[in-house]
Amino acid sequence: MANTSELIMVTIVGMGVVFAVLILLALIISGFKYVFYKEPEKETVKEAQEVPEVNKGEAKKMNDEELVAVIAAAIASANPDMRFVVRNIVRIPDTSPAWGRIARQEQINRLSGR
Amino acid sequence: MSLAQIFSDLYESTGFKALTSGEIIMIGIACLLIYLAVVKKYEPLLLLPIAFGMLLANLPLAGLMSPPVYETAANGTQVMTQPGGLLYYLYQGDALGIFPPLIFLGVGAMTDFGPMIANPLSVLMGAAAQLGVFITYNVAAGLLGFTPKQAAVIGIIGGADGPTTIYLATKLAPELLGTVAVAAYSYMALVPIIQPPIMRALTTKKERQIMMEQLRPVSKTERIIFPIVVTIVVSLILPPAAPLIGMLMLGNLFRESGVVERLSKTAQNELNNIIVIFLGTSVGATTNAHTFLNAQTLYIVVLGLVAFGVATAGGVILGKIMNYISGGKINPLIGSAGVSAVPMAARVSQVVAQQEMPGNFILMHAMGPNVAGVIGTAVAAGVFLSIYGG
Repeated sequence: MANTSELIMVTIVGMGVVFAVLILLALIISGFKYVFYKEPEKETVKEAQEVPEVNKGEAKKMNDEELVAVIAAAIASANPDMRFVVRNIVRIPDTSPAWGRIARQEQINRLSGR
Repeated sequence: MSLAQIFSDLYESTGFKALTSGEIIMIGIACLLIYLAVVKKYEPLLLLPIAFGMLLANLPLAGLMSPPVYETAANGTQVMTQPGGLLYYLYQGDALGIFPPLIFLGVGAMTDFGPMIANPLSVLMGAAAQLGVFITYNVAAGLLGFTPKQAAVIGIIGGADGPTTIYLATKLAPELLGTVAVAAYSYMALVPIIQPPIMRALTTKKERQIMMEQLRPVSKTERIIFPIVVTIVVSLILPPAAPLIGMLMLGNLFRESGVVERLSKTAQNELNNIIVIFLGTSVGATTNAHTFLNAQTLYIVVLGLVAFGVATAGGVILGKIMNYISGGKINPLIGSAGVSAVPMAARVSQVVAQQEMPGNFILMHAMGPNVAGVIGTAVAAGVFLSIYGG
């Protein structure tokens, strides 16, 4: 039978060392946040500002009367009873991935019976 | 020579004649473990090789585990008269402490320490779960008559970390290696059954429903610096833990550095699988009727369960304390993941949390204590090694 005081000593030292090592690691890792990590907030702000600029550029180009007529006709045929005025058409930059576009295209093709 | 004589000689040379009752029982146990691995899917990746190694080593006359025989020749040199068995040579990889650190290399390459870096406090729960190791150590040595070295090896089962358990066993109590490995891997497979009742008993419904804040993203620089820092800090404090921690972190550096993808893939897959085959079969082969069929084995099976239970409780209780201090921001269920069975213990935390409140995702939070538990168990093993000598 082992000496009880030896066992208790080993337990205290053991748990003590385990905690000491891991607390030390936790402290070091906490430091990482300040040394090696930059808040990504600035980048997202930049992106948000860029998006409207792109929109403006796109909007200026959109003065094609034929295109406006086609869109107006499409809306009119969808809701024949509705009265409406086209004041503004803005192209939204297409951010959907390629496979998403293909899936949509296939859906349209299938519905239109092609 | 008569026909009867020939058959009689043939019979004499087969294993049937040499088969002892102990070996028959061992073969039966090996078949039971194979059944548990194949049909019940108890950690089959390890239990199946272990069980088959057990089967092979207990076949009489096959000599798969016998050491080479040397004789001293007339001129005084040692001459090998009989080479050792196959499994004997594979076992040298365990005995010399080669295989467990190599498994850790693969574990490191598979482990994402991101959740732990994002939430450093979760490391503490990984430390608290080591309580199971030390409580069991006390019970085994103080009450059940194991030597302190054996008790340390039995206690480390509570870390739920196979390679560490095997590593410590080969260094401190090789006679228990097979038994301890079987117990450790069996209980690891039973984590989803052992843990939830303890987790529910120690927490209130309100605590289990706590939702935790999303973890911050971790930068690539942090991920690369982390394994280097851990290796230096832990190895300087506890040199005996260096083989395990060093290989774990090397694997992790392969993964996170992004420049050696081939090495990272090899460490995770081919190398890891090869070592698992060698390690599993040779660990299983260390069991024999003499060391396995006794009361000690039964004690170890019970103590392994105690170790797992106390480890789970230790993590959850520290989780509760941290929740109290933080003002209700930490779900104590992630504490149980401090038992380092990765990622199973973290998944158990997630499942228990979702049963209380569907839509509560604490898996990534639980991964913090989970991977910290791996480091914690290696540190605990290092403590035992430095006290009881390697």
